[in-house]
Amino acid sequence: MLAFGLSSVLNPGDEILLSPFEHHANLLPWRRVAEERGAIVRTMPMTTDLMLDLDGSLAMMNERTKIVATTLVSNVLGTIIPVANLAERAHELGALVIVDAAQAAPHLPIDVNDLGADALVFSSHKCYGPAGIAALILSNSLIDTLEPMILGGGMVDSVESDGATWKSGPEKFEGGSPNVEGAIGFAAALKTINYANTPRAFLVHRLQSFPSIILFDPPFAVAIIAFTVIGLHPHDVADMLGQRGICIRAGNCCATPLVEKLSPNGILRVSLGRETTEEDVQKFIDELSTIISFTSI
Amino acid sequence: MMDDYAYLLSLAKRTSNSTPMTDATVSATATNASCGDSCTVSLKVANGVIQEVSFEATGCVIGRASAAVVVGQIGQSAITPWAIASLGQITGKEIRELLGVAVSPLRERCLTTALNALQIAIAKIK
Repeated sequence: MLAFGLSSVLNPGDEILLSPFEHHANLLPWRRVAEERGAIVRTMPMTTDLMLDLDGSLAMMNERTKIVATTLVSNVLGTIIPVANLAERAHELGALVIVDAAQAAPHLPIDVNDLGADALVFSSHKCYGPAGIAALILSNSLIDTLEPMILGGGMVDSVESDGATWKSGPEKFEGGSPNVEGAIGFAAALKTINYANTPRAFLVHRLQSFPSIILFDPPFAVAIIAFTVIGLHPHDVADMLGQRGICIRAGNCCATPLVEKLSPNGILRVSLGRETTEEDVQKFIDELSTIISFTSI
Repeated sequence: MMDDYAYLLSLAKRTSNSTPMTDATVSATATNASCGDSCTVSLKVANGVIQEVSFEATGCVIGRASAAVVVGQIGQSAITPWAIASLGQITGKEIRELLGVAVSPLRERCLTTALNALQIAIAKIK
């Protein structure tokens, strides 16, 4: 929705810069908008230790850069992206900074102003809330200048026979009947988030003890850990774990361009939540160990 | 569950040593993006009869085990035009039943990758 709303700032030859960690949700809309407007999508570089190559990324910005769209945290690797550093240079060049905080919201406290984001989005279902609702935070200037993307009841001050006047502020973007139940659930869910230390280090240490595991472990990351098991397909491992009461993600995690660089058949991803304990992690490790032993016979 | 996977692994191993056919009359590859599975089927055909079959399956256990099941449907003897027509009618449901193991709906495409490749190859037979 935001990408299409911002398409009017793009002219042929303008550039949209994306991080190399994007979820399809923050990749495909920009590709579509770029195609429609004759703009160019460029991908910022990644370092060998799976972080954003900040120097290389800053060097890519120029007067044609109009939008820098990046996730705050990789949904695959947990990598934390230095958004504030990107935003500083982007704003010097007059570009907008759009932040996908869907994966960051349940793991990190977020200060939109410190990040320098012109727009920041995050979704309820990643924060233990109901599916089908998300939050969009806009800078004051974007709230004023951005045209509403959804038209309908509730977002107009008045409708005349030949025109309409939009409401001001966030309501301008809330056309149609609001998802009241979703909003209440979302708000309640946000109050349950805690950023207490999760047993990430414990999990990484345990995974490192398996000689058949390839671990993707960036130095600055939240409690999202990706790995593969040599000789086992990720979906098979996830299936077997699922049958034993442990749900982890397998495959490309809706971030195919990134995952293809890590492993041709996808990865396994463990996300530690607000209530995950060391005992939970140990149970997972025990089950994984059983599966690896069993399948290597 | 481990018994199911033991069975699937034993089936999957049957397709792990397949060798490519260099003189195939027709061949076809089907892929399954969700798992990255790939199956290439090569057929040697003479006078409308399949003389030789080769399967090269890579990917997840369910995809490779399903390929073994599809191979089992073809059998070892030459396939007549009538039998070729019946191979073209096999459904994913039948493969699931032949496999005899519960497979989650998310893995549905893993079940049918080899079958898709076979049926594409059959459709190429003039």
